[in-house]
Amino acid sequence: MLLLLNLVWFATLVSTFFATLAGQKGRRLKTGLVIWGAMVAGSVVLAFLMAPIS
Amino acid sequence: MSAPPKGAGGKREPDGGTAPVRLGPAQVGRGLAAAAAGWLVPGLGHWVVGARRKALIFFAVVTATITTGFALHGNLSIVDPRTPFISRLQVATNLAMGPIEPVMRAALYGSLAYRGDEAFVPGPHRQALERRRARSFSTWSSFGSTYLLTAGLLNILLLLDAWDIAIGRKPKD
Repeated sequence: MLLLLNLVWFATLVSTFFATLAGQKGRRLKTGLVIWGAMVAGSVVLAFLMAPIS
Repeated sequence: MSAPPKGAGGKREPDGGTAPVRLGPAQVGRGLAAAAAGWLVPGLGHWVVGARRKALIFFAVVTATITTGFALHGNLSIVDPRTPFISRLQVATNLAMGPIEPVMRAALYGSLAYRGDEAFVPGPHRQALERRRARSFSTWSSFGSTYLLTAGLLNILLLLDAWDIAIGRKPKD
């Protein structure tokens, strides 16, 4: 559970940063949400592939 | 803030802006000042070039990243003689956080120990490295160290972005 919380917090920080840095004005929220979702989903998928729950 | 200088982002070049642009001394000065300010305090580079909303967000994000790393018992990197290249890059990344890095290092370890091979030489740096080693036994220490490295990497991107805005290559908002 703490690992997931850590993942969510890290994704929040990084997605906020990159949405502010590289997102177009007016589309930053959407950009941030896409980055956040991709980070969380990608990490969970990668974690499952590396250590699948049997 | 004055209008962006011609040929450095304010106006497209005929070839689409891919041709090298010669920067004037004033532009270089502004860029260096913004980057230096950004190194001193995360986000300050954006503040001085007029991107104040961004500056506040960047300050908050980088500060939160550093604080999380600190709270999770993260360690600052040292130059490891077994992996000299990669560990030097890690130390440089830590230093990109700004003057807070040596302050944190001194606060955490009691001295500015940057070299791992000093663990074999009696003295204050040896004690510092022992404190660092003890801290690494914490469950979340590697996570914390990752946060601290991330904060440095994010700040490097901020310095480059502040430079681009200061020389007029990129709009400030």
